[in-house]
Amino acid sequence: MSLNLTPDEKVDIKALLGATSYNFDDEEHAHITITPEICETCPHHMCMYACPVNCFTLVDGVMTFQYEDCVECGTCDIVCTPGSVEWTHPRGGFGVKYKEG
Amino acid sequence: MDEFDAIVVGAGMGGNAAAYRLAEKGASVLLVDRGKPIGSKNLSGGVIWGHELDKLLGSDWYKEAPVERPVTRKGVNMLTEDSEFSIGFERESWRSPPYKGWIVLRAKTDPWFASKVEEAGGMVVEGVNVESLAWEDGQVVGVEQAGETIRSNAVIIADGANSRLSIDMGLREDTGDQIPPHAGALGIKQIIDLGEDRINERFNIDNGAGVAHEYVCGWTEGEVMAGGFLYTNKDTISLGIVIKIDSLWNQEKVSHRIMEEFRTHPSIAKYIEGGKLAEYGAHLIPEGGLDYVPRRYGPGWCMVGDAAGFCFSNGMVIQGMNYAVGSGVRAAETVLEAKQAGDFSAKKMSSYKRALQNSYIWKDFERFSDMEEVVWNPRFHKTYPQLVEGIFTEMFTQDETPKEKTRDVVKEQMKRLGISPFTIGKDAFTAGKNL
Repeated sequence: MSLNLTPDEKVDIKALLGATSYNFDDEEHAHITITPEICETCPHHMCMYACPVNCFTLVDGVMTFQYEDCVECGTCDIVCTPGSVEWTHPRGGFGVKYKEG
Repeated sequence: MDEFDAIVVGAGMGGNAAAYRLAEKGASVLLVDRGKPIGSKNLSGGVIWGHELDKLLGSDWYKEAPVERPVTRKGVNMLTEDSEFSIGFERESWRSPPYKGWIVLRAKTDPWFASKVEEAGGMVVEGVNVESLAWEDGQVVGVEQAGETIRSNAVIIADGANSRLSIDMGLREDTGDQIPPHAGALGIKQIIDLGEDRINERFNIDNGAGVAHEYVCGWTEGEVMAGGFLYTNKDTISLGIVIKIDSLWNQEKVSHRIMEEFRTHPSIAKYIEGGKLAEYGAHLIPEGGLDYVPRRYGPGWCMVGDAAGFCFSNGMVIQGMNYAVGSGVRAAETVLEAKQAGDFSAKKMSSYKRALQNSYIWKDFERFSDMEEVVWNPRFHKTYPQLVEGIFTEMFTQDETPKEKTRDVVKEQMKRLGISPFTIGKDAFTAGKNL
């Protein structure tokens, strides 16, 4: 562990993502959906560890996915073994909008 | 009569290169990308090595393109919790053409590249997401978009690491539509705004020079394996990590925390102090090798770049863009030949595979699995950084005891870490053979 980051210091992903641009689509067009009932039986919840932007969180033991912050990397689709994650790209022109890349 | 000779899906390095070569040779081409503007979905570490772009666009391309800096100094660094062991290489001739590598930011270079496609006569459409191909009698005849078919004689699939067209075609069926975890690395990247003067001062360079550092992240706990990178742009720093996805398994370690540990590591913090975060992003790196997809061509189609898994790292450099351009150009040339022959059958399109096999690209990837063995060897990520740290710390420690011979220091440290001379010899041999 790096000396400059204490073990219990949380990474404030929301603050970091403030620097990234998006064109948000409405919720009915969310490009990724999950089935929380499948997540309940998932033994590892790797999505929570692998997602680089904290889109997956457990709220009262129920898995939730927050599509707005997603940077469309595709990692959850790889690690989610039980098939809970339904992954597509956002509609054309929506989603993350890198200015640097 | 088909609308286009070819439709290219995806305006990254591979798709742009393919579309440019097609347009330049007089073929009618439609380049379509889901990003709006073009380039807004594109992210990479940041160095394009090699000379595929010189060959395609002419060796002066960088004068016109929005590039950042040429790589004039290369550093390979091993980090432990609070130590750094570095090997640096700098060459004066790298400051002038032919450049070895250019540091680039894709949201800037790729729209420029697409504008070159337009200049050459291609049609470029942004903000359109294509997720399925159009088929007729077992032949690809274009793409399906919003219930309509846009027809073409050939489709070049360049839709990147999360290629939806590969899935649509059933090329990833065996893995349940997914990239197998062992074939994927996750890249997380921050752009840090420092200003040109501070960059030049801190890295001891001028505007005509640039630095590319790769790091072994030896401080990571458990089995997690990650590499880091730092590249100097004109007035920002590209800082990021590459995590082997399957090494995260059962480690209870969060990916973005590893990025934060890297950013705040004393060896990195000193460079970026006072900088302001300009962008945070992430991208998959398909390090899959030749087995990544079962086929890269078929009746009326070819697959290039990240979609085809043409990406890998040998520990010194991470390469993807140059392979993308190289495969894009070869796919375009196959389509041009097919157009001339009026034959877009799988047999005709197979000359794409032959062109790749006859090039350095295929040969590089044939060595891929050997290379993987070295690059993702846990000892290179954990044990050796600690060994180096231990040896140097002992050697430079002055206490009241008599100085030990270096040989004994090394022996002692090897014993501490439980590693035998035989294992080191074997790793050194494997590394020497494969790198």
